[in-house]
Amino acid sequence: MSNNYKERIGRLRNHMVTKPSVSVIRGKAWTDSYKETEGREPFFRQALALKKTLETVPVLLDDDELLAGRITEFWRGSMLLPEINIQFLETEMDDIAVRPRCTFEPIPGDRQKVVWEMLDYWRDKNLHMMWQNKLPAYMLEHEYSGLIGGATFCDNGHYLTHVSADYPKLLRVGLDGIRKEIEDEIAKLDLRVPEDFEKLQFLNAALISNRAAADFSLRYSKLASEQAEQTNDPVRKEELLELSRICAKVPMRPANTFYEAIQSIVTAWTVINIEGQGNGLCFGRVDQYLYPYYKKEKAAGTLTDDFAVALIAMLYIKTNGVVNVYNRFTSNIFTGWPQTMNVNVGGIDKNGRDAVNELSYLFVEADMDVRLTQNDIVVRVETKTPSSFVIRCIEVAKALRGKVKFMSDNTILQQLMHDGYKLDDARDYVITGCSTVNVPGRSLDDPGALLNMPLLLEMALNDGKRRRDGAQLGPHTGDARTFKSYDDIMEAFRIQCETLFRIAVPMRSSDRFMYGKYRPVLFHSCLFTGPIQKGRDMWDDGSRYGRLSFSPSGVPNVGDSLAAIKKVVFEDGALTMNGLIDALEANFEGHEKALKLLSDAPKYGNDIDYVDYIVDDVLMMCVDIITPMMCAGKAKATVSPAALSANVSLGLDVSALPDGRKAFLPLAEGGVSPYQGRNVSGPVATYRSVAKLDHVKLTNGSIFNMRFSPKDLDSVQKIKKFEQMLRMFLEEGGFFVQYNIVDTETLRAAQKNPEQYKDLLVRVATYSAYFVELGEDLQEDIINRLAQEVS
Amino acid sequence: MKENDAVGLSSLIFNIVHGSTVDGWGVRTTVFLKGCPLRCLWCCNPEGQKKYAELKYTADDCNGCGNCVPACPKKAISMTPGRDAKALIDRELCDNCMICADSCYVGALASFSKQYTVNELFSEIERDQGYFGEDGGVTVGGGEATLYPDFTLALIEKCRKAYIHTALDTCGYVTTETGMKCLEEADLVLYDVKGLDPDTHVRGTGVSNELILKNLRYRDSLGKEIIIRLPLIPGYTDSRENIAREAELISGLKSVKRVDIIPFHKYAEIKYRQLGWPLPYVFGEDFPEAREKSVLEVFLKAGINAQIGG
Repeated sequence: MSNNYKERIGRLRNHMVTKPSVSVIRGKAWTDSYKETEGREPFFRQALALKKTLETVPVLLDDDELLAGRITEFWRGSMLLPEINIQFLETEMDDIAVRPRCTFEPIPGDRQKVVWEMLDYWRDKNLHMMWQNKLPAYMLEHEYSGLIGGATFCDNGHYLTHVSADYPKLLRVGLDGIRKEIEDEIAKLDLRVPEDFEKLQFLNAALISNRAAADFSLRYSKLASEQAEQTNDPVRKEELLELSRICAKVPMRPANTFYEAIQSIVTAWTVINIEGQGNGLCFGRVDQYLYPYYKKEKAAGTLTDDFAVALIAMLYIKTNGVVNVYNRFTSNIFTGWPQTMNVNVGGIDKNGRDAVNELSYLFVEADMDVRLTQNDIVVRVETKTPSSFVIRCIEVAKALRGKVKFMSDNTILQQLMHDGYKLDDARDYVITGCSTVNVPGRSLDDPGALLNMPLLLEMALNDGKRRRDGAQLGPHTGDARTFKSYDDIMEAFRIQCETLFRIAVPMRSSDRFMYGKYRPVLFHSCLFTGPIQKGRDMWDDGSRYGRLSFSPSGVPNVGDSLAAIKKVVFEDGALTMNGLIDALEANFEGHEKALKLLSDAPKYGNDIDYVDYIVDDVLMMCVDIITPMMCAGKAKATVSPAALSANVSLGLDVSALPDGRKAFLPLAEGGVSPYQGRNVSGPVATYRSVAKLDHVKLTNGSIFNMRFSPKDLDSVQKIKKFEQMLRMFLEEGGFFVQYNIVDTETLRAAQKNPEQYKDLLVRVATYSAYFVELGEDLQEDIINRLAQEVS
Repeated sequence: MKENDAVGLSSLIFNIVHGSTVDGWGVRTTVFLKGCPLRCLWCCNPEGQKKYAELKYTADDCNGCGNCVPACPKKAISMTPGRDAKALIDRELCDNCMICADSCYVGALASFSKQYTVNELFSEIERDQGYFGEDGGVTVGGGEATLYPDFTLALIEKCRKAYIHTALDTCGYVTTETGMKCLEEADLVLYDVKGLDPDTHVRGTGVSNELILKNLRYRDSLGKEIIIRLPLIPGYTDSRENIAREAELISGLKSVKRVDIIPFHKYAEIKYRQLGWPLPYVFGEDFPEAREKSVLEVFLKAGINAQIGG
């Protein structure tokens, strides 16, 4: 980027390359407010708490900043949401500064005192505790059983707020327009109708939140004008006066300029975070809804690309200021603070036309000078999408070591239609978080639990017991030594899965229920279609569409294992069931022959139908069990294979597998990526294996990571070929792919001298993280995968 | 050739890469046939030289169990003494029967290749057709594909019928009539030129370059596309004089679309070890990057479309 703002952007982004701190201001204000509203209903308490907090949190503007809105007083910090659950700090207050993953700056004594006050108040009334009290014991025992990773009730946040608010509407009508909508709805109420009486409570509280957000913006307007008075720099003075004017105008009123539009979004986004922060808050289709402002100003000569890119870069940098302090257990699942604040670009518009425009390019370019972890770029690719755009995105992915997600419009439209979305809504989809398909302002599609599939297979081969410790986690499905056919194994496996899924689905669904009923987010809800009309929180059946997806993890291991059993035991007769179980029990020690036979069986990722279809069979079995179930807030249960970074921690529970994987090693990463090092037949074979899965039925997405060496992209021709393969994969039935483009030498060097590689980005699961922050075992896993693929 | 004949033909294949970006135009599926008439000192696919199956022994993977010792009918395997025992293979006695590979449970002993019929190989290629796009296709290389002239010709013809672009990656030492037919029929030929000085060529590759250059001119006369590949080998092909002569030769050819300069590399070291062969002495050398660039300059100045790497 040849940009006048390059140095400022450089300074701002460098503030983010630092260990995050814990801020107590939001948590304290929220707690204080709750103490003042004892006895009132949740709508009112939440709205008042937001109001008090927005009045209390410090407003800060750095000399380099052009956008207003900070989440904490730190450049990179975590708020506390004690009303959800921060009780883990009772035992982990000091641990968060020394644990192997996701470490924070130590919380100093005075702040610890404030935290203890919160802990004392919330001990018996935090949402997690309320939830635990509602669950039957047979469900609760799975909170940390290792079978349902990430299904546990979230720490310190609205679990995964993987949604995209109706920012286009905010820009069109402003908070004032939304307030009018609420007032109109109140005017229509007939308070003799009991439902309307309840609606009134929601709508009144919504008005409080709406006003609080406007006042928050005015605080920034005031701050900017005060700073303008104090500065001696005439240029900065001009900037501050403009920012002050803008913050006095938006988000309250409609935006008229590109700058106003971006600031309006930033303010709304900041408030949404403070109200109920969670991962995956998405900015939506930025290149579409911001384009009219851009185009108008470009034509009028009032906006330069330099300035537009600077604002976009500053928006990206801002998202990196938010992290979320989790407990140690969860930090293994969401290693590297994946806030995944996506922007979506490209794809088609609601008329099915190519939607790529100049802004699509600018949003991709802008990240070249940012290169941080939290802001993800999602590129929608449709058959009509110009190659020049896809190629530019590949070049940026290469430069950023992979930080771009490529999505198939063709597959995703089929998925959404399959789940009953209207075509116009479907065409407007975005990807939120890692790989969740959502419609901005209209759907609440959220990921749910990780399901440890290899452990379920292990239980099917061990009468429902976990081999590691003999714990009876599932039903008795018989002694596998007596199984006579492949069908016997599949049946035992199906029973193990069905039993667990029937626990996992309501368990996670109840979590969504808790948010909707007891911790409504009124400000955020009013940026969706539905909640105002229904008078209900967005998570409580407020929106037009809702899905909650369940993520089978390690399915490639299960598919490889079942294929190995089918071939070696039941087709070739080279191994008996006794021999197989003996080998698994011994972790293959002294059973090298069995290990060899099993390892030589066909492996997923090499375009071999035999095993690829078994992987698909396992996924479709999950679909058949899970999708008929309904979740709280009338959300549909769906299936989206994923493992996040938990492929390492889930693996610690799984003993030797029939695919030849030895005990406690990591599971397959991603969700549908072939097991590390087993795809040895070239990229086309890998693409074909993955595209063969029935992605249309995996309706909330799946995760597929591929690794390439920078050498594979070192010429124009190779990049074109890369694009050709990528597009074929997306057109052939693939859903999503992202790349890790690094070499092992760099990673080794970073391990040795972490200080010098603090900003080395790598892909973990579907998000980017700083390599040096990952912890040694995950670092090793990444290096090993890479080494195998390059050799 | 009749379809039925093609079914029966088979060949030893030592590698298939689905999605190569370096073996011709576009995205390609590259197949490597085992067996080559040349014995280049710098060979980067030594497992592709012999026309028969060969035992691959990866000492690092050997766990010292000793199962292979009694399994070998030729008594060619013994164990090194001591705690970290490893299998030791007497390659003089070994006849590559592969019986020991079945007894090796850690995969340290295995065959370098697998037998494919034309139809089996075709079905591996056909699957990838969607990824080939407008200019990609199959590249048949090795080793030297024309050592299996009937097989290779049948494969080329079968691909052609399926509208799959065919490339032949050849050393040019083609001696049979059917082999020449392969050279004629392939849509694209990747043609190795390993130096123009006849004596140096014999020293480096074991054969004269006379036939190779004759065949190159013949293919060129057909007006069908050629990509020339020039390995840069220290002491063999990298002299200023040789480079200048190669540039001059290529300038006079009409069908050459590009020249790929392939600097010497050592990625094949592990394969020499797995074959139990001594490392060729040229492996001691490194090729400086600055030299690559200056060689490239020579071709570009002569108006030839050239690049470093495939």
